[in-house]
Amino acid sequence: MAKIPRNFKLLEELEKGEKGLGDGSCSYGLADSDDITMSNWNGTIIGINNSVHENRIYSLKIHCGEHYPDVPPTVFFLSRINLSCVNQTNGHVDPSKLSCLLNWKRNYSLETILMELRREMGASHNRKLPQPQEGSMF
Amino acid sequence: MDDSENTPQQAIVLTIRPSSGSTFTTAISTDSTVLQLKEKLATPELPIASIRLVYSGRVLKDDDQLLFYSVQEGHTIHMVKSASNRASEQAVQTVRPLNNNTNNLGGPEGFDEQRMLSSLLDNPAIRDMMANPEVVRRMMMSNPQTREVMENNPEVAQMLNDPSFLRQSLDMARNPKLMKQALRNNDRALSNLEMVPGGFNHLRRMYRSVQEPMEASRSAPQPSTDDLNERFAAQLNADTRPNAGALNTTALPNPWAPRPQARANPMFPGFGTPGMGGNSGSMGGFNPFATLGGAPGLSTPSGSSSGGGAGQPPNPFAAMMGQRAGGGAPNPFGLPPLGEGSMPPMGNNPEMFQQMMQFNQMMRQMQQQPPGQAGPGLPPSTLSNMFGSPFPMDTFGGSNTTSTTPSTTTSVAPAQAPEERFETQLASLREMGFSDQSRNIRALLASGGDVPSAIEFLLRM
Repeated sequence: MAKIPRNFKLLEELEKGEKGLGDGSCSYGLADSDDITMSNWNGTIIGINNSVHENRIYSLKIHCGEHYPDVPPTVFFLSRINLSCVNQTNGHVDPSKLSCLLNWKRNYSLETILMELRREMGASHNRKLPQPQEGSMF
Repeated sequence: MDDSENTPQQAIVLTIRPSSGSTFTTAISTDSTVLQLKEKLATPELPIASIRLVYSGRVLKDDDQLLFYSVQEGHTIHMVKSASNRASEQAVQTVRPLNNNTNNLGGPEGFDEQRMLSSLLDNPAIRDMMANPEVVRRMMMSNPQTREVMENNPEVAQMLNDPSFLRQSLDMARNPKLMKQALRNNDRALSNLEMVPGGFNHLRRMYRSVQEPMEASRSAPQPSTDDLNERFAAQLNADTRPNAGALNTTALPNPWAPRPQARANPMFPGFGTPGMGGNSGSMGGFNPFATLGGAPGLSTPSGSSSGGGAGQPPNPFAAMMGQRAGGGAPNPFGLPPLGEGSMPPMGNNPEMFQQMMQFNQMMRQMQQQPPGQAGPGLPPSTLSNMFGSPFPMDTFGGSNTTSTTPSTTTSVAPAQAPEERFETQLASLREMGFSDQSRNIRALLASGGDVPSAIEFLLRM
């Protein structure tokens, strides 16, 4: 199977993000639409229902390096959130604590990460964590 | 990607994807602002203020034009409603007016200060330091003002020396939500306390010994308001200030204790009637039956026939006692004389209520026993004695205007003879084959005029 080059894959993801083809709980797009390297992305996760995250919007910034998608992107939370995989001082998502980053595969996408983070919010070990006030930022 | 900037007037069709419900499309020109888009999307159920729009991983700001986000034809904007935001805004609004006088949450500056404080306390270094109550205490003691207050007011000193209190207040300072919650709770607790008779005095004492010294240390005393306060306190008949230099160990007043007549509170017409309950009775100062009698001599303007019980919170024993009093005339129950003190002293605890319920059941069982079995009927005074009331039985009747015969708390006028009162019921009982008139009357009296219960009573007799 042919390897999809970085830019092709990112363009595909960009279109998916702009058209909102996912399940609607996550949204993502380029931080700067003029950025031809498509490195810096914004992401939002809409908190899952029936949890403390309900109706909250979490903003993230995602950096896709030169070797994406061979290596996973780096992900930072901009909105303050209390999750076991998120560094509480700078919002960095620890790749060793999020399985999709730890076991990154080429066919994973930005949406995969956002969806997994959203699942994490509802996971039993995170569900009960006290959350900071909405709107506070790292 | 630059199309939208070249043709700014272009109208595009956007797909709106709500967090719940199905997607829909809307047409809007790219040079309109996000706010204008929200106006289009707003419905009565979803006001503009609670709409949040997300596109390409960004939350759209109201003042920006859509082309700023380079939204294009066919793109999807996510719509999320922010119920939580609104709720907290409302909470802020309700808390604010209540705390205008405490000056730290008063205006917008107050909130800035609070936010600053909470962000400061969120700093991990500070948090570590604050986790140690000893450090906090030393910090407080280093402030001469605080020290002075502590020396003059042992209550405050005790509070500030309590590590758990310190930790709690720090947690609160860190989390604005918790703080608001605590303030709300505080307000509610205060108003609850105020409702208790005598509670106001206690509140006043608390204010005097804790809050006042703290506030006084912040600002120079204002003699004029102090004078006014004194005069107002005198009018309210409030206690004088407790001894300075001593801990206030006075318990909260017993809300059910009898109160002097002059101070009888119209809000508690049934409580604390002279002679009912009280510390001399076996109830140990708690007399739930006090609500039943519009006791004679009560100075409050309670209703005449239904007695003070009418405006009272629901009393589980009221119905029972109504029945009891109703059957009181021939007294078919044959109550064994319960001596004074056979009831455990009661406080206002749930155990006591359980015991009362057991007692209630016991009474019901006795009600179902034939009268001959437990000996001749007891004089009504035994019954009332049992409840620690020196008043004769008719205090339970709820009527201090009528005869000496025990009356019922039912709406039936007690002056009539039972035959007349229960004429229709007696007739239907006769029709059913219960021929013994006196037994029927007794049964009806016991059941308060309720035919099915009377039949049950008759069948058990």
